[in-house]
Amino acid sequence: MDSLPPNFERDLSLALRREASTVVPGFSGRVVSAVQASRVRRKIIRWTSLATSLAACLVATLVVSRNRSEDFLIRQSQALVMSDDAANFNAIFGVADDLAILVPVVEEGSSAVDQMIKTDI
Amino acid sequence: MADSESLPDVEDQEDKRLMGLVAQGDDDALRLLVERHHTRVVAYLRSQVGSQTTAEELGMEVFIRLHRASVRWRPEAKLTTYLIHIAHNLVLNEWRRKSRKPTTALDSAPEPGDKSHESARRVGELDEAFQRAVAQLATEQRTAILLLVQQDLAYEDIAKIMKAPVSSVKTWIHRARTQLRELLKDYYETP
Repeated sequence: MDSLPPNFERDLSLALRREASTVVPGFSGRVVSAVQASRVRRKIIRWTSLATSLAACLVATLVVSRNRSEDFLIRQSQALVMSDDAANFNAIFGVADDLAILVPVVEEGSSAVDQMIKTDI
Repeated sequence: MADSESLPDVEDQEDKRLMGLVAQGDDDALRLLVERHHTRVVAYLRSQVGSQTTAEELGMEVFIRLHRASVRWRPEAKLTTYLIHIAHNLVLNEWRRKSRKPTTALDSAPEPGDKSHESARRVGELDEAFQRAVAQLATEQRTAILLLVQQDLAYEDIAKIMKAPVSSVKTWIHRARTQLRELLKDYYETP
């Protein structure tokens, strides 16, 4: 194997290291800005997540309380309907009561009618 | 000798101190860390993806990921190794995203206003020739030689980053050197 030319290693090292010493202007500022932006983004995500959880809890509470109010409404409606039925029955039975006064008149035996039935025409 | 060994240690300790501050949400510490390491990271990415714009975008992603990992980061390895590890994973993702594994890193035309190309012209013909030659290497050889020479990583660290045995890394580096010598023979031939 041929040996490396003299200065080869030094030239290689200089060439590559010189490239590695090129400063990029404003690079550190850009990195810090990117990190700060990322930090703000993470904070927003965290708060958004918290807000979403709170909103979910609120919705759940509302749903539960609405069920209760619905139950209450149903009970009230049923009571109303039942009271309405009672009124209808009352009305019907009231009239029936009134009609009942007439019943004895109709059912009482009439001597004139009996006589007519017995009479053979 | 002792000074040259202690200097990286001091830098590594400073990196670890800054990472501790970054984990506590100190943006100035993050800025300092980026200023200390972005040149190496962006250079590595640029050598691999062949575009300064993409390299800078990926470089930003490297530091954003570093920031995200700062809380759970444990100072077991050197921060520079950790950064290059993230950068290398992003390079693999980028290649996957493009659905092709480039045979050369600089196979795309230079972008208009690409500062790295302008600077390459300035630093001289030999530097440019080396960069072009490195770009023509096979992917594994290029990655290994970049991590060794440009990023100054140990063979063991390169093996960890490339998820390969140390012996393979050594082979890739040997082949890379041989290939580079062949590609650059015109510059080293005696008249």
